Amino acid sequence: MSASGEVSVGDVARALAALRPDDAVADDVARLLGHGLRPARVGQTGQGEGPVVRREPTLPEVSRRPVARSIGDSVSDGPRRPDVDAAARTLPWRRYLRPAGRLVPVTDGGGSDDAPGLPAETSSRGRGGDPEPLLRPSTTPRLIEAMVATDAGDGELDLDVLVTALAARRRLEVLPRRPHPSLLHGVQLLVDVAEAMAPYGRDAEQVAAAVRTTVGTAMVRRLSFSGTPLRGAGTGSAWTWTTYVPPPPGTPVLAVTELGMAPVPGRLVGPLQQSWLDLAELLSRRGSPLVVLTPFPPQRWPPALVRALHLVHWDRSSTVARVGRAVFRPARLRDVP
Amino acid sequence: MTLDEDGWHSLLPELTDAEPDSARAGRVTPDQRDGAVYVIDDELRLAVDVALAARRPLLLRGDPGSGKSSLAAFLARNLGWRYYEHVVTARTRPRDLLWTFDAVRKLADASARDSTGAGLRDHDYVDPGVLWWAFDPESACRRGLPQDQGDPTVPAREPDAELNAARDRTRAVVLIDEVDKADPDLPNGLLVPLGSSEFRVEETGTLVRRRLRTTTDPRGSLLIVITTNEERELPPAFLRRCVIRKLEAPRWGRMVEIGRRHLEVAGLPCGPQEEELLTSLAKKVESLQDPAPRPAARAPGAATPQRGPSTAEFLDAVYACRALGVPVDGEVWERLQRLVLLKDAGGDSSA
Repeated sequence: MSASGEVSVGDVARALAALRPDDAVADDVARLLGHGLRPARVGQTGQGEGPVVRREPTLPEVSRRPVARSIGDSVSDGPRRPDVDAAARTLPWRRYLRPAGRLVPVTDGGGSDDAPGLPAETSSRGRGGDPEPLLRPSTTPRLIEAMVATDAGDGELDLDVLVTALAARRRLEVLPRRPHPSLLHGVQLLVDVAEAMAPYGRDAEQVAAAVRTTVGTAMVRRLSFSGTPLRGAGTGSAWTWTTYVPPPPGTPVLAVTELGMAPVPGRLVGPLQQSWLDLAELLSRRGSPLVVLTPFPPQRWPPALVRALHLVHWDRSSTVARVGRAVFRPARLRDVP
Repeated sequence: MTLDEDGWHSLLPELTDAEPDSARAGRVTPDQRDGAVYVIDDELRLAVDVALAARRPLLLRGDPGSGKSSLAAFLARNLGWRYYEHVVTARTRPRDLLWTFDAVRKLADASARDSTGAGLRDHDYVDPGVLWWAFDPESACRRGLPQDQGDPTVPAREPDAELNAARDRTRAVVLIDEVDKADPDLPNGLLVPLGSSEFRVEETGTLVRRRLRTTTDPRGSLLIVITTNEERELPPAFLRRCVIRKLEAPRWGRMVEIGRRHLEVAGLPCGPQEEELLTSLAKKVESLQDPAPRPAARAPGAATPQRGPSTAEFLDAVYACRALGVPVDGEVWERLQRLVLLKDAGGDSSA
């Protein structure tokens, strides 16, 4: 095990020593432990529309310390004890050692789907023509968690409140607990497909995909709308939309929209933004927090909407801590029935 | 340790099904966790071997019913190791796998006793989780109470104590089922206790350590099997610490083998009639697993299932057809398959 606790080349060596596989199986063993298998070929960089890129083991060449000793420590005694020194000498593990941080493209198609140890964005980045996502891929799941988490109601006991109440001989109707942000309520995802959002269509799909993988497919109910959900929303084409139906009480709502801030000739912004205030009030009465992910910066956010909604700037400058502070407020949680 | 003709030296003993037992016929279900039967392929066996050799958790991916959850019990029975499982829900928190503390009961006991709560011991309100039982069953039984402080008021009850009674007290297989159901902090919260083989119970200060932290046995002393239906993505840091294997839906030939072995272990006859039934059913299930449009048997207007029938549903069909004497054709079969394979909404074409 490496110092970081992640699978390292040491794990590969240990597995190879214990299992003593032939060459073909040795590749499978290394693959199961998330290590690149093929020697890097000159000219392959893993960029663009090419092979999936895997991270090569990060153990530097200098770490070729005596192997047999450490391997021998992990094998059994007794009459069937294998010749570990000989096993180590013949092990194919040296080929898994590469200079630290070097990337080895894997071109055998067995790649991304079964690749342990790689964040999803690693295998999808760099595809030709894809724009950079508006949210930082490395923090997107945590950002989404921060946006849609609600209190599970089963947090740690709030000892401060408890002790204070008991000391004052006050009767407690409810055991006080600290908030426990959780995704167990799922989320209703509202995606604005109006023309004003056309430049962000692909980004919205990226967000929708990230919400599904973070919250869980079965826990996400997605609806499309144009401008405001209160003019109709639905899962299919616009002509199939019906009156907006709020989610079950307590379920958070995440809307992806420009809130009328995009310059659209002839559009009446006032009624549109009033509609969002109405939606916020409707959801608030049901204990469903409304979080709006918008591509426009805070300087342009209408003050009335800032007061009524949880607004998050759909931009790489948004951090988990900032979103968490803006969205997950205990005051909001007490609204949940 | 066996020399394997497939190209590696397996750390596993010869994997066998349980002895046929007709008593099992009455209660056998595809979801049972007694580890009586499992048809394991070479790739999965290698993944288990690698997880044992590298002392890493084995993360099994795949659709529901693909055999992820039943592997752990089968391995535990064959290895002779204790077996514990925790089925994760949306409310499961990382600490639940280590211990839980019943603060409400303590408060009630304190209120009932006197205003100070004197005489209450925090240990009595600690309930060990599966990892505690796996690490140190004796300490878990005593709820972490040191020997010199007497016995707990009520010793903790070991999960599956009867099953584990005759098994190795120092080694265990732990199944953490459907880890994707919980918030992402659950897998991350397991990294430290699994990596360090120890944790401390906050309320009592008890340090729980794995009894067999070092061993010359190349298999180690603990196998963690984690399953995910992939309803949500798992944290990369967690994935980097696991051996990962995806279980695919078996083709019809392997399904027949699975069905045959289940019947045998249940002490049920498996003659030519049963073979024919298994083959017909397996081919039917395989055709339903293909992405091609479903047969017209589906009720008009019924929602299209999101996936084809699983191995577990195949076994349901086997038992149903066998018990009811239904051949794999005809009107009754069409109705039966809607019930156990297609899972139509309502399940009744006349509706």
